[in-house]
Amino acid sequence: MTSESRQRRKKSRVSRPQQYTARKPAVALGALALWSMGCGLLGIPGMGEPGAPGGQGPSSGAAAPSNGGTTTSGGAVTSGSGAQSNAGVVSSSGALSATSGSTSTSGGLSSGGSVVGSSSAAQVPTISSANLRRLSLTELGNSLEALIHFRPGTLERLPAESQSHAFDRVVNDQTISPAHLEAHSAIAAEVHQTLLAGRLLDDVTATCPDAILPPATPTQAVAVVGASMALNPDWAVNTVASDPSVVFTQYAPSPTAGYSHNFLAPGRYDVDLLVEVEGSVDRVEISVDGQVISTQQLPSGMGTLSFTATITEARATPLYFAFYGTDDNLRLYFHVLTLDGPVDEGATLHAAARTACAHAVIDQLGSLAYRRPLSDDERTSLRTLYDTGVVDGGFALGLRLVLEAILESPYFLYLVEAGTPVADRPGAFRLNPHEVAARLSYALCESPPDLALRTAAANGMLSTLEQIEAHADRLLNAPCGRKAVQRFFDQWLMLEQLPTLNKDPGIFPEFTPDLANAMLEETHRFLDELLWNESAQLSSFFNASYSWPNPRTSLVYGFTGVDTTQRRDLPDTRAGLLTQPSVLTVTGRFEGTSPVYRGVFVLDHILCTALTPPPENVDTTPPEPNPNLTTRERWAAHSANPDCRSCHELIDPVGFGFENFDGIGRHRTMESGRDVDSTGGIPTLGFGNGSLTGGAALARAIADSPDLLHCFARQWFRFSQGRMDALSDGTQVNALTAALQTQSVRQALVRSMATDAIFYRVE
Amino acid sequence: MSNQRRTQKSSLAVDRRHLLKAFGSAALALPFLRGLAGQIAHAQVGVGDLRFFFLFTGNGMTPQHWLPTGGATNFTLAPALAPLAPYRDKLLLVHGLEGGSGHHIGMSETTTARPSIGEITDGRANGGPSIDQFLADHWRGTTPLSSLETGVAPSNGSNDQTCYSASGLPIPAIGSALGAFERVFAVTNESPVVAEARRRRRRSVLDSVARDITAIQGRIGASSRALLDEHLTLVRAQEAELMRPYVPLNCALPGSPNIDADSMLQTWQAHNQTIAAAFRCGTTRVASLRVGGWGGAGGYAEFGFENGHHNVHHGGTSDFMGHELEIDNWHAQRFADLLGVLDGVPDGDGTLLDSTVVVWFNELGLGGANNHGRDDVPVVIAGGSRAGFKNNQYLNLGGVQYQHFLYTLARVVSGADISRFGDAGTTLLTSLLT
Repeated sequence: MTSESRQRRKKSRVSRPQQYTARKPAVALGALALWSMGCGLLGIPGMGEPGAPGGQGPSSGAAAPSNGGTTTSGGAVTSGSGAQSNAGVVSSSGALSATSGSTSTSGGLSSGGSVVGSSSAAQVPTISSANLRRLSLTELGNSLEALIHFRPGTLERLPAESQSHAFDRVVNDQTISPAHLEAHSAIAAEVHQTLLAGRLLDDVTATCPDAILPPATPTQAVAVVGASMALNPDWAVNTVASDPSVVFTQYAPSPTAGYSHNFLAPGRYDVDLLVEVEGSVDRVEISVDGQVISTQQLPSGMGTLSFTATITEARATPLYFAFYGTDDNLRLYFHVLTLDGPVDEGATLHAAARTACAHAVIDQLGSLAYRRPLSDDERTSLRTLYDTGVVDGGFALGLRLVLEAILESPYFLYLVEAGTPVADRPGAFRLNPHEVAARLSYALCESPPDLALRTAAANGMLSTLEQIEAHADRLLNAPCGRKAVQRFFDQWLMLEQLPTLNKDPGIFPEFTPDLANAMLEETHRFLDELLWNESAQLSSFFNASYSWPNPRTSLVYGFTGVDTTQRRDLPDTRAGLLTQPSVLTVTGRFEGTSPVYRGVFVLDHILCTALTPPPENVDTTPPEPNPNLTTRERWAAHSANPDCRSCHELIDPVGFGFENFDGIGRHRTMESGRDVDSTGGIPTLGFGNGSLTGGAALARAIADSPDLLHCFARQWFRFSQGRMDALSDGTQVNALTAALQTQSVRQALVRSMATDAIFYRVE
Repeated sequence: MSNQRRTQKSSLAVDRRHLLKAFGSAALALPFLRGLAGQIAHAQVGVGDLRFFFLFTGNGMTPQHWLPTGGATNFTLAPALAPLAPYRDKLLLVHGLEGGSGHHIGMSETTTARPSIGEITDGRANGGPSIDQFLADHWRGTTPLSSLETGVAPSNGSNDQTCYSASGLPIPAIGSALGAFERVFAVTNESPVVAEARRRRRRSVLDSVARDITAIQGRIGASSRALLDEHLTLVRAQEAELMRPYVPLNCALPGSPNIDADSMLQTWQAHNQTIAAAFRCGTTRVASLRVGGWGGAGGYAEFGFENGHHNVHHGGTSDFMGHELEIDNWHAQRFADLLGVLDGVPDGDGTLLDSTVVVWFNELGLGGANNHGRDDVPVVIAGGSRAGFKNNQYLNLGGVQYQHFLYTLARVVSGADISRFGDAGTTLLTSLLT
């Protein structure tokens, strides 16, 4: 292969993250995971670069750099010249050039205070079309909790979300199946059951006080055959030959019959005993729980003893019938005992109140679920549904149908954004305030709009970028926003895997579930401190010389005698997230480390470098373990094949640089009795192989790289918007990139929401 | 409402077990209550009616572990398939099928005959349906559930999928034993009268949902609503189910799986029981089980070996060939477990295995280790003699296009006169048939 053709090959193998091309993005994700796996590794979920030009790369005209500082030719990739001085912000059109210190741009991004009241075409920002997105499992759980204040267990019936693009709510990965629909239905049933049985309906609306509800336990009708009753005296008891369920007594003038029923709820129960008398009975005393409650006459022939039993406790309670008489030839046939209850005392009494309750549920829960006021048609339709249910099964069934219709509605299950057409801009739609509120809230909190946001939407107070920014600031700093940001980092850095990660116990006996959780805890503490207390810029997350080791993770660092968690300065072998035990452990392998795996992780997840999978039909068998060689020595020869080398000379130096950390993040200088060589580099950033030594040096280089800002912005876009970024989303991505240059991560995330893009969708 | 009570409420019902305990017997769908009158099912599956099941395991097969020795009928099983020995007379072992790209990119061709378009769809099918869903659609309405998709530690990447609806959306596999069981057999123990009233009224709910979907469809472009369109299709299918008469199910069911018994072995065994019972009771005629994804499952702690199947096949560990055989063997044993259950159920003058076409797919060929291609794809077929598949046979098809095999399955099992399956499956492989 000539050097020129090799150069071309490199171009086709890697592309700079800054470049958006007009070409439909290649979906290389799992392919990349395969590739890393093909090289002997387990897949990195969410690998790949659909938003990037994939195999096309810099050779595409549309991707040509358009502003001065950017050097993106294939040559730069391997030149090691370090030629990346620009802001890293390039859109395909070149129209947008964010400058540091300002969020004002020449694109569709309005400056802070502009009012976007009218839908003029000129103000529609450049954004890509979005598919209708289903709420993720997490979002659905949060939404239900906001509605009904508990989390239905039947959520577990929903299939797990695909995370091919790292995050669990990317519409490109979503599907819908019969199992989903069945789970939605089961959730509605559980919500109904729990609200009624748990007397929780008054948490949904005050119009439904407990007092008007039917009994918590649904009314049961139980039939007990005579043969199941206890009759005395024993010697008098006989069974009817033709129907063994019927028993009778004979020659006993004063027999007794008893039955102990397990009442599931207190309340009034209607009880009937069907008895047939041959002969005469003077009277019958009926007892409930040992108390005589009724004395009745029983003429000869078929008759029914009817009474109401008031049960005060849910437990087994004896019902007892004492027959008194003097007829020695008496025969008493016991047919069946029926119990019906607890009686719904309020069916008539509370009929009006219950209708009011159902209407309130429809209005309040319905509008919360749909995240907007109901239309008159919808209200009428749900009320009709309630009436239909009441006819068949009373209040309980009426409510059930209403809850099913609301909780299985696409208005609840999907983030519906329709909007109204923008004049002169075919395909552009301006969202209504409720849709804007929902978009903002799910983006930052993975949950539906709270009261403040709903109120703002209803009052037209969600139409300027200042108003958006104020709410974004409030939400991001609220518990829901902080939790969402943590989940973003967990998914971006693959930390969700930690609690269930396996390591070879023979090699890493120290790696216990407790240690794994402690690693996660340390990183969460680090993130919390930098995000919310220090208001740090993104670079600090990757070059911080300190962390908050806890007693368990201190052992990984080699600190002794640490019994409290506090900020500690770390040795200069460590710098930021990429050298924390958590990240080094999830990017380590079962039996050790893999330079390819760590290299691909850094390039793909952290720098958004598009890589393509290995060619087919190459032998991708990883090197055999060899107790006499270091990992690096074993891997060094693996890319002799030129097809492999074109990519691996970009990947391997990154992984080699982290070789001074073992599979659970311990610093090492020796492996297999030999010195560890951790010289490496980041060729795609211009740091050629050999120019950087050790993970900390690589991490610091990454921290200073504009590629990091841009990649972070893209990843946050995917997470917060729930879709892959496309060419025309460059405006939003670039706005965040620009903000990250000068502002804290926390400020930048807020700022990134306040662009005109939040008011529109396009098709 | 007092504060105290509010506190009690808020602590309520956070997890499923807690809920089950709190409301143990009410209208929640619960683990099966034997003999309950509320259980309803169609009764339209008769003696000898065909069923279809496939197992998918990833990472391919090692030739020396898989290829039988001997002739077409007097073959000897190779070590990976040794656990199938008791059912040797009901096996049809086939290799020599020629597929396209392998491994993650080969996933979709394996079951849909619609190869992924290289890196564009990256292993996700370029359309549907998969073979199981084709049959489910064909038999729709003859059973309460058209199909059951299960998994053992199923991976959920978009290129790990094996089941696709006709519209090309992946159908996820249920990894929880209890979850799969509940899909098939969960009942509510409300009284039959109430259950029937609710079922009758369910139609009005579905009407309401369908109306909402249609309203949204009218307001957003067709290209933006793939999920929604499929959602409506599924709602309509549910509505159609409600129109059919139901009769009480009279069928002995297995016990409900224990929610805590969630090891790979326990899950697989429970899935086997659920699937076999669903076939026996006519609850569904189509089922599948996927182990992990194209990279296999992540750990095999059951036999003290926690490295993943994929790593093992790549040899990223010492004694990898030994471990690989151990895992492949273990898969075969679980496969044999299901064959055993099916073969123990009388069905007319044969057994349920004779009425069930059982297929074991993988996404790679035998053509050389680690080459990621689909040259010489091996397939195990078991049972299905009533469909006309040969039993007790070992065949090398010598390079026949793989898609013809799926076409043959689709045509023979459905009995439908189709001319094509997938992109290019058009030829009936008569050598597989009696």
